Amino acid sequence: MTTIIEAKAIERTYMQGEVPVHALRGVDLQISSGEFTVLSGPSGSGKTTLLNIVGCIDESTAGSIHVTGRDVTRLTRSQGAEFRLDHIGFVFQAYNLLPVLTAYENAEFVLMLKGVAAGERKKIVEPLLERVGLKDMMHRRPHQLSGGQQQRVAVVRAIASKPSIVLADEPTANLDSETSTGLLDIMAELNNEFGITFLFSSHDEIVLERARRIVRLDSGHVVEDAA
Amino acid sequence: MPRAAGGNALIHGKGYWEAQTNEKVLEGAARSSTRCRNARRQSGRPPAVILEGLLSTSASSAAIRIYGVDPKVETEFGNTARYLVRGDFFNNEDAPLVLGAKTAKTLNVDLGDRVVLTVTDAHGEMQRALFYVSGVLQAGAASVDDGPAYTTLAAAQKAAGMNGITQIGVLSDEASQDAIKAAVLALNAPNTEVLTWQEAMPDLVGFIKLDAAFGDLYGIIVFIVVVFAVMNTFLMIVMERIRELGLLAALGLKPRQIALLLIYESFLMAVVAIAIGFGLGYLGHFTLKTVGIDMADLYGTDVQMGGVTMVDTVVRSKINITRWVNATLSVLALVMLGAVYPAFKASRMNPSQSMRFFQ
Repeated sequence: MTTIIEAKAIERTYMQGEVPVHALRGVDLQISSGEFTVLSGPSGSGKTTLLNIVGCIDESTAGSIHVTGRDVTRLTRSQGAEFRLDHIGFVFQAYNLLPVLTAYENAEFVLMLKGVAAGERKKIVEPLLERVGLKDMMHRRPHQLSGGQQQRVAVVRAIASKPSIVLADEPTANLDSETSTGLLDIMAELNNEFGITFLFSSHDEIVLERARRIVRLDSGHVVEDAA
Repeated sequence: MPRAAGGNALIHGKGYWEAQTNEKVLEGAARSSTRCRNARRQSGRPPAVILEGLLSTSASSAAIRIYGVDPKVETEFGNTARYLVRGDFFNNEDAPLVLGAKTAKTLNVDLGDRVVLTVTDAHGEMQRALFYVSGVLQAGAASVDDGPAYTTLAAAQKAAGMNGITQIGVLSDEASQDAIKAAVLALNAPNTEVLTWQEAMPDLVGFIKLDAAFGDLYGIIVFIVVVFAVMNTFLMIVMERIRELGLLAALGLKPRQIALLLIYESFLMAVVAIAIGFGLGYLGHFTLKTVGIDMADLYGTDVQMGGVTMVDTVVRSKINITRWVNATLSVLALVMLGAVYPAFKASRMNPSQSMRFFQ
């Protein structure tokens, strides 16, 4: 399998006032295409920061990172946006659906940004919504859906454009265990079926049980990498 | 304003406007009047005799200004007859006199009563003439109730031993008044002066200019407030939507697209706001145009502007298309300008930090 994410000596330092906070301290990480990997560790260990840097929505202070073979260490904001649109899908802890759009409109949003025609979008999105059990609810707005349903819409939005990588930041943190299990089953199926690489940040046992690889972080260091 | 002055262009005997005495008679009035009509710019004002004199009865006396006018034309011009509470304007008497209610009370006269007018005639001699009260005016304002009296042109000329008249006031559009003045001056009539209403009433012109300057200043202040309000509103919109904008950026919307999105939104909001403003503004204008505001009712007395007592105290709204268009374009431009900084700020946000906002 080809390497899809390659991070070398990644450091990230934030300034809190005048105090530097080292979120990542020289992280090396290689992820191959099609992996179902979880970044684990306690709060403040640097999981989300690493995920954000991989997703090009944050920048490292030092080190280099290649995603899908491209050096994304220092992209401009516009290049970053374009790269994300083409290669990355996001699933967030707080679902982050657009409240004024329906489930269907949220799910097709990335395709719309990519300029896919409405008819084509429908052909892609409707089967995916049916697959995650939301066909009958696709015209509902986010506030009319439960947390689990909203997160399933977010998953469809993330994979609808067939990105190379889906980054999921604590996707089950706001869900009960049954809903979490159902959601992870769906994500695992999509991983198997479409070969999309999934990279999670989570310390949820349900997520860890399904991971094929767990990378543990602590205080900004990789302390364990177990397949 | 021209009505308050007596017309857009005022034609007098030389020196009348400054001295305002009965001796200053306009010569060649017929030729001047014809020249105005030939210019096809005259919308009407009767030749008038204006006399300053003293009205007396057995009970009392009162200083008075009397207009000797053609009642038919005067009604069209000044519409003084609308203030008639008794009598008419005029009856068939040889020497009818319509006077204000307060003056009538001072003189202790009513319809049909006799009053004596004492005036200096065109030759400087004292003359007396008998008039009969034919009408009483009352408006609740001193400019009418205690204002000038009216009689026929012939009766006034007879009383003052005058063959000519005192003044021709020409009511026209503002753009034509200089041409009217030039046309009358071209007659080279001796002892004739022609004044535009602005020349006749410099204090009023000064007041109008001052009022316009304050209006412009007020407009500038309002516009500055609008800019800050718009900027503040859009900054608040950006702040409230910071997570949403961060999400859009994370999903792949470019900074330029985010900025354009906010600018487009602000344009739509401005267009809707302008449409609503137009509607409400037109409604207000229509009401003020139809009903008007009677300043005399508001002040309970005369309305004076720049030292001039207003003849028509009802203020009505008038649309100035140029101002409306300029104001619309200015507001649109200011709104767009006010939206640029928040849009720029939104486009520079870091998606990961934006999405943590309020999280």
